[in-house]
Parts: sequence; C-alpha cells; structure tokens
Amino acid sequence: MASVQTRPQTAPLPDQPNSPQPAKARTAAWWVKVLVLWHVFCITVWSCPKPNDALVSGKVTPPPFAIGDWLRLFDEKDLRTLQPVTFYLFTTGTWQYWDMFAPNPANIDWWGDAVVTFKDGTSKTYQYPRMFLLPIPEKYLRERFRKFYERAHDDTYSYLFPVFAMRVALLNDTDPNNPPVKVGLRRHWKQVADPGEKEFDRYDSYQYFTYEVDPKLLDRLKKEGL
Amino acid sequence: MSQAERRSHPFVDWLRSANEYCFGYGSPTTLGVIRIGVGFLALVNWLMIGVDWDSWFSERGFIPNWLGSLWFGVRTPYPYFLSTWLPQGLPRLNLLSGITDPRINMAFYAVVTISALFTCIGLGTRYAAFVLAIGTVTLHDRNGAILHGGDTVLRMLVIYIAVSPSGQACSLDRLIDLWKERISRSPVLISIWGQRLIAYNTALIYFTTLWLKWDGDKWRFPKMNATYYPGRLAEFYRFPLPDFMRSGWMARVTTIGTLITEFCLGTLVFFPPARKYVLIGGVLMHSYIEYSMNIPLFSFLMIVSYLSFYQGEEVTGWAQRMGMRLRKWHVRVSLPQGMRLQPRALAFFDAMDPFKMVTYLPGEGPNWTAEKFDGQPIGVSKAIGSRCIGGWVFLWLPGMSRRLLEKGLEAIPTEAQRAEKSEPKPAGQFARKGR
Repeated sequence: MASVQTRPQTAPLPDQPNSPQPAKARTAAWWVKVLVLWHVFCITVWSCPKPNDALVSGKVTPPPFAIGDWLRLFDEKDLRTLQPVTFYLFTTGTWQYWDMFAPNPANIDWWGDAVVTFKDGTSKTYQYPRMFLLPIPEKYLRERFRKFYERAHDDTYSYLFPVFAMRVALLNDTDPNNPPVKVGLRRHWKQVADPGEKEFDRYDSYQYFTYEVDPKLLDRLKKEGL
Repeated sequence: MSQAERRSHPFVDWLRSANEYCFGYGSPTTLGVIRIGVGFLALVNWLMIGVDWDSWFSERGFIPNWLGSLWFGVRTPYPYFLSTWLPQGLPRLNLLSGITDPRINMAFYAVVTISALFTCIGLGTRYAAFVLAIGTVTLHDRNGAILHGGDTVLRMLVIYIAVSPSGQACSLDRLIDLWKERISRSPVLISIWGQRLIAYNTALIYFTTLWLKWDGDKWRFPKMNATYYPGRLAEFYRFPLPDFMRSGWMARVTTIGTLITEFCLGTLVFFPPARKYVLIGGVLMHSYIEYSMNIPLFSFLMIVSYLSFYQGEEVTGWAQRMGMRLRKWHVRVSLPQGMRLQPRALAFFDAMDPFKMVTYLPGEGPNWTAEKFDGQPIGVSKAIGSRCIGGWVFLWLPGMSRRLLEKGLEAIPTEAQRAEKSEPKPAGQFARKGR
C-alpha cells in the first residue's frame, strides 16, 4: 500500500524536547507587563465618561451611593488631569473617547451649502456634499464630508469658517474674469420629531457666516495653498 | 505562614491565573487573522480618503496644515507640563507637522497605504505594521476634524497590531520563512498580551459607551426610544428598511436590545460559556447598523476585533472543522512517481491551507495530477490555487504553484541509498498509511 504524505499531525508542545519555546518563558517580560498595565490604566481613565457640567462645577453633589457619579468625578478631577497620562495618550496616538449615540443620539439633521457671489454680481448656490443626495456607493466613500460639517458649521469651531469659505471660493473659481467675491455659508436643519408626533416637513435655514473673498489670498490658495 | 500556604491563597491563585491569561503564551493565529482584517480595512479606509485627498490633507483644502495643528492645539491646552517649550499644546505624533509640500504629503500617504496592503498580506509585517501605525496616527493628528469613532478603532487596532508579533501566523513572512527554512516548522507560540489588549479595548468601548448612555433620557425608562432618532436622520440613510423597523415600538425593542448587547459585550464576553452568544449579538447589532446607516467601516472593524476573544487554537480548530464540512471540495494531489515533498515544502503548503483541503499523495505517473473528492480530475494549479487561501496573494501568478511544487520536490531515496547514508525512515509525523 502506498504511503500517504500528509501534513504534520502533532506539533511538539512547548515543554517537550525540540520545542522552539523555552519551557520557563511562561509569561511576558516584567517590563512588558508594566507597559501594558500603564496603557490599560491610561486608556481606561481617558475613556471613562465625563460627568455632567453641574457635577464638575460642584453645583450638584451626587448622592452618597451614586458610585458611578463619584467615580466619574474622581476620574475627571484627579486622574484625567494627571499629566503623564495625557502626555502618554496624546504622544502615542492612543487617545480615545467613546460616545457613539451617547448620551443621547443626535436628533437633528444638518446639511450645508453656500451662496457664492461673483464679480459680475451674479450668484449661485454651491451644494456642499450632502449624503442624502449622493448615490449609496458615493455616500460611503464621502461620509467624512458629513462628519466634518457636523463640526465645521458649529459655532464652537468658528475658526474653521474662513478657511471653509475660501475652499468654497476656490472650488467655484472657474472663470478667471469672473472670480467669486463673496461666500455666504448656510446651514439647514430639521429636528426629528418624537415618536408619535408629526414629522417636521421642512428644513430651517440660516446663513451663519459671510466671507468677503480676498483676491490675493484666493490667488495664493490656487498656487500654493493657505 | 509557609511559602506553600501563601501560594495557595485564593488571591494569589487569582493573580497567577490573571497573569497567565493576560501575559501567557499561545497561538498567534488570532492575531494573524485580526492583522489581515485590520490591514484590509486600513487599506480600504486610506483608499477612500484618497478620493478626497485634496479636500482633507492639502493646503488648498478645508484643513490646511496650520489649521490641523490648531484643531488639536485649541482642544487640548496644556498649561503646565512642558508648556514653556510647547506653547501650542501637547506634542503629538505628527510627522507631517509643518510640511506643506503636496509631493511630500502624497508620498507619505502612498507609503501608508502601501504599508496597509503589506500589513494585510503579512509581508515585512513588523515594518509594515509599524509604518502603518505611525502613518495612521500622523494622518489622524494632521486632520482630526474629520475623524469618527471608526477611525479611533482603526488607530487603536493598527497600534496593537504593530506592537504584537502579528506576522507570526497567516502571513507571507511565515510562508517565506518556512520555505527558506529560517524558522521551525512547529507551531509558534507568542505572549498574547497584544491580543488581550485588543479584547480589553473592545470591551472598554462598549462599557464606557453604555455608561455614557446612562446619562441620556432617551436610553432610559420611560422613554427608551433612542434608536428611533438615528434611523430618521436623512444624512445617515443607507439601504432601505421596511416601515415597521422605523416604528416607535421597534425603536423600543432595538433600544433595549442595544443596551443589553452592549452591556454583555463590555462584561460577559470574557465569560467563555456566554462568549459565543454575546458576540453573535454584537455581530447582529453591527450588521443592522452597517445595513441601515452610512457609517463606513466602523461595524467591520468592531466585528474583526471580536476575534480577539478567541484563542488562536480555537480559530485554528474552527478552520479545520470548517474544512471537514467542506469535504466535497477537498482535492488529492498526486506527486510524480518516485518523488516526495521536501519537509519545508510540506510545511509551506500546510501553512497555506488553513482549511486542510489539499492532500498530497505519492503518484504513479510521471507528472503531477489532481483529483477532486468525487474522483474527477482537476488541474493541479487550480486545485491548489483555489483551495489554499493562504496562497491567494501569489498563486494567481502564472506558473507559480507549479514552480513551487517542482522546487519542493525531492526523490524518494531507495533502500540502498538509505542504508548507505544511514538515513532514518521518513519521519513518522509526515507519513502515515492509508487515507
């Protein structure tokens, strides 16, 4: 009968002779353990949910048995502020905070556009990529436009507005004789009605920023960027 | 108290078992599979970003370099430590800081993208994963204004992959090393703290998210309708859903289901008897999110990270059991008469075939032949190339499988030759009688 050549059936165990693994090396080196534990401590501290503002400011004191609130306060005031923790997380890129759909999921639909006014006085509406209008494959590719807009239209980040407007001006600068001279950024929003209530049927709009385009800056942007 | 008594203290026992669980040695297979998934998703992620590179990473875009720095500088003021020489805020790992030349930026992007591919296939894994991790952190620090939760998951996973010996299994590196006989053919064991970190971080994501949700009235009784809202945000729409999935009562069901699933994924998932059911719940939850909402790659990344809850031996065992179920696709490859596979080639082909679907037999003809499970003939290259998924990266190259087979052959020594060389009989572990 012919013998059959097949794969190895059993591999030697670590503590058997000829094993590639030393039998005594049962766990990682001590310094690896220290680093791992430090890392676990840091990411846990940073991921711990922040307490609400009233608790942090001391306006409200958590009840004695609200262990979660006390833990979060301790984390916010005494651990998160430890400079080695912050330094480690931010320099290594391991910073993290998890708040997907929390504490409450978003219930407002936002999208944006811009009114671009040209040198000859005409104007047109520039549609910033809006996921709802894009075909499914494209919206998957370009979802970051939605994420960016979530922040870029927020007054907290108003320092983003001028650059946003310049980018819109650049994208609309197609005729050298008729460049954009003004960009008005608009946000549109609609709140999702609570269950059982009538849906709002239209979006509210507001022009939150107007930018007079500096032709020299636009020229520079075209050539080398801001 | 004697030393022996102290050792048997329950707390000491617990510490010891925790130590072994977190830092003990085990199969690298799980890490290898996670590396493939993470590398692939990183590649897709960076290719997707590349479509709008000009918008996000150029000086003409929405976030020029200085604004990218300002984004983090403003958000993370650092008034004490190092503040004298770091007035902008925290130092961050951003190799592109201050670099405005688009050619350098593009070259950097290309290197990161290629490193994702190399990480996925496991070629030069140590270096590729390291470059991918540094590159991912850099690009995230270069433009933090476009990051979502999936990006953070990706960043953490590539860092864990980079600091772990993730190329020790399921990689081209291992195949090459086996072929060149640079490593032992025995299974490798590694300290699996990297895998444990992935598991811990995955559980941490769910636990802390759930904890934060506790603050939200829509997640709590009496409302308990939180999932009603994201499903109605037009900007998140993806594939169509039947109306009842967006109804109020279904929102209550999915809200409660989400809370239970997330709680289990943050806690019970470490309890082996519950693990499978908890992870199935997680997969179902993320599949629903992936189908219904436009949140790119996040669900896939989370599902890949679930593998970290399984030991490498379990993953290997699963693959072999799956291979047994696919019995009717098994093939037998017959070697030319008088020839056998060299041990290195046998180990190579074995490592390439996780489902164990190809068996190599001594042949009676002058050429290679292959037959399916039902006895039907099949081309040798096709038989091996289609079954050995570990070789899919390179077996499609014309003539590759045949070239490997030819180079892996050696003549079976005759009895006289054996006696002359005092060669022992073929190693028992590589030969057995019958099928």
